Amino acid sequence: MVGVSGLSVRRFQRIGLIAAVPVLLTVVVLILWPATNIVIRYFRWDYFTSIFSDDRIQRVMWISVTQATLSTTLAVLVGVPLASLFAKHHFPGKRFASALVTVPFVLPSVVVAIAALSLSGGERPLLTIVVAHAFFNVAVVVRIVRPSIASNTSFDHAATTLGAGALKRLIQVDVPLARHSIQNAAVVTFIFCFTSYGVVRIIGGLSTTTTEVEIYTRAIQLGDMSTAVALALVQTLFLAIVTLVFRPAAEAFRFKPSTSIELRRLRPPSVIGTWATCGLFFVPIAVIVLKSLRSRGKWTTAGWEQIDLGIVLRSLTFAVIASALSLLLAGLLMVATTYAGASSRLIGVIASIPIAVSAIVLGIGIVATFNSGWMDIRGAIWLIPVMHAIVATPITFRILRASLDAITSDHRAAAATLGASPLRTVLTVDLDAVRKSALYAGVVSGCVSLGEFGATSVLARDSSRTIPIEISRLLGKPGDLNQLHGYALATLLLLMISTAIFSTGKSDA
Amino acid sequence: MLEVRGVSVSFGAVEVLRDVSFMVNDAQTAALLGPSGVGKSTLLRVIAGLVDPDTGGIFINAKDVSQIAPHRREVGLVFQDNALLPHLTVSGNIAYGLRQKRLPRRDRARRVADLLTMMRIENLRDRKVDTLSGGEAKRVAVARTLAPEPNVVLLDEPLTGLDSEIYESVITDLTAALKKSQASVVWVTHNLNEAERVASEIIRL
Repeated sequence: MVGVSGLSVRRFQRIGLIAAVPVLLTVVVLILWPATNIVIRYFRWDYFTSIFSDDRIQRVMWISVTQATLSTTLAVLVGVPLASLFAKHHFPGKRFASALVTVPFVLPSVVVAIAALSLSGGERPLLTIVVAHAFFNVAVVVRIVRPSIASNTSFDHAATTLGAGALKRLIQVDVPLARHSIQNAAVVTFIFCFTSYGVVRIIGGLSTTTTEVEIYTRAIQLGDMSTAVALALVQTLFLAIVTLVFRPAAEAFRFKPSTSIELRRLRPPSVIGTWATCGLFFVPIAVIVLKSLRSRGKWTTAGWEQIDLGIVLRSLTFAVIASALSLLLAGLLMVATTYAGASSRLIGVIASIPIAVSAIVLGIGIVATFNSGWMDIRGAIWLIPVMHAIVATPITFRILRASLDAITSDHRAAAATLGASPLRTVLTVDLDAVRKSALYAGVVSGCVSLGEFGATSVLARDSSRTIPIEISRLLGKPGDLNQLHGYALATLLLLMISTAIFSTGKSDA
Repeated sequence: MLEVRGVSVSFGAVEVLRDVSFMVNDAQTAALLGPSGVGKSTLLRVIAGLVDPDTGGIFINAKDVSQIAPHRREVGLVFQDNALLPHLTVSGNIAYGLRQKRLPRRDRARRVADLLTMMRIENLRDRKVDTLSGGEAKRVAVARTLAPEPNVVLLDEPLTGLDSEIYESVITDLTAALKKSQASVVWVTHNLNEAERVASEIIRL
């Protein structure tokens, strides 16, 4: 527990358990119940067994596994060396280079997908999907692996003085010492790529489809819920097995972070190489901006003039509500997992369910469960920001949690000896410590809401369309003006998200 | 022979070293003496090439090594916290620098065995480094640094934190091993007695 002794332990536990109630209620009512409900209503054993003999579905599964494996491999091969560079060196423009690599994670999948599509010209959809996924997930790899390598800087210096060059240190020191972080990043990336929806739907078209898109097609477009449920079950089971088998228990080696060690200056040739690599991350962004202003060889602002401010304002409103809700849920969850004693672990596991359930399944569960009488909330406009908040909360929680790691049980004990009650300790020590990162977490969850595509594409009606839904609708229609309009919206979304992230001053955090 | 010529280092607005110069001959040990925070460790990092000086240069055997990457300088550094690679065994750590030199496996094994004997840690050969005591870890760190036969050996407060009995045995074996290596040695300490005992010259920072 938290190291506060005797009497106050129980009082701290009570605070933790009370904080857990709203979080658990949300997970049970909006995720577990709908998910269980669709399984009970639509699960049929013959459909479940038949998907293993269906040629189309076998192909879909094969593509899912292949693209996720290749995407993960590419993201790790690019991400680990970059994480190592950022962790160990300083060089001119490092902040911007690091932001270029890490910001894609909060870019809307729709935007990245159309950028990749226009770069590839619709050729080689599998390869395009893999590159688009890697573009997103290099950020995941860098974020997870970088702190682990940074805490090993003294070993890197030791290896240097023993004659090991940069590549050898990467292979012989960084990789083995950070191997659990790398493995962890690979598992997370694999799950993201496997359950990715927007990218695959937009790039893959009809030919290259994964299980996640197939679930949507079966449930929403064909009304074949039994096959959709069977597929969702197979996917969940498969990902659970992947997680259990490959997820490392803990970091292999724990060291005190070597903050006192100066970062080394990167030599000019390496600076150029790093810049060239990071610059590649700018290409998709440039393509979208260009396509919003150019059609048939001419410059035009026609697409921008088409933008409906109503949709923009709606998206922004959803983002603000989702961000506030997500901060509330994540904050409560943080208090619960810190103080609830023996139950902390269980609460943490239940609260991480939203990561495991895909956004599409979430949306379908809601639509199929709350569909009659007073419970019919399918068309309720508030449902969209609520679902956005649920999708964003695991990320918000991680950001808040990271800043709480600096608080030890000694800090809390010190507060207690200075006369702070358990509740005051929580408020003045824990919540105060996360105050600064709360702004960043709030902005990130707002960006997740702005770009959310999966759940929204199931739930949104004509009156509740968000920017990503509108982009996908416009780009699916013929006509130059629709294309220009779609790319202009995508550029606007990019601008909104990058302004938000950069304004926090933590773009490379 | 090591020569430090007019080295100055600042981190932002903080000036850590100003115009430091000294020379250390082969097979000679110079003690770098000064209170904590005076930039002793930074100076070692400058010599090793891990930190670039703002002005001044480092010369080894009369050759300017300022533009030579640290992994090619042949400068060994015994880190204050040892920095033994935690995923390698004791012998793996000692062999690490020899592997970078692409020494044949048999020569490597012989050299590792010699160093294990010299530092009296033969019994620790296959131990994981996180199971070592403070004195044992220091002996391994010294053996690892001496293994590739560097021209210059730098020691960052090598005896700090060792209790008196272990201190005596480590200092004896350490000075003997350094003498045998014929390298130019810079030994950082804040202890005047220790400086007088190990070094022929004392440089105050």
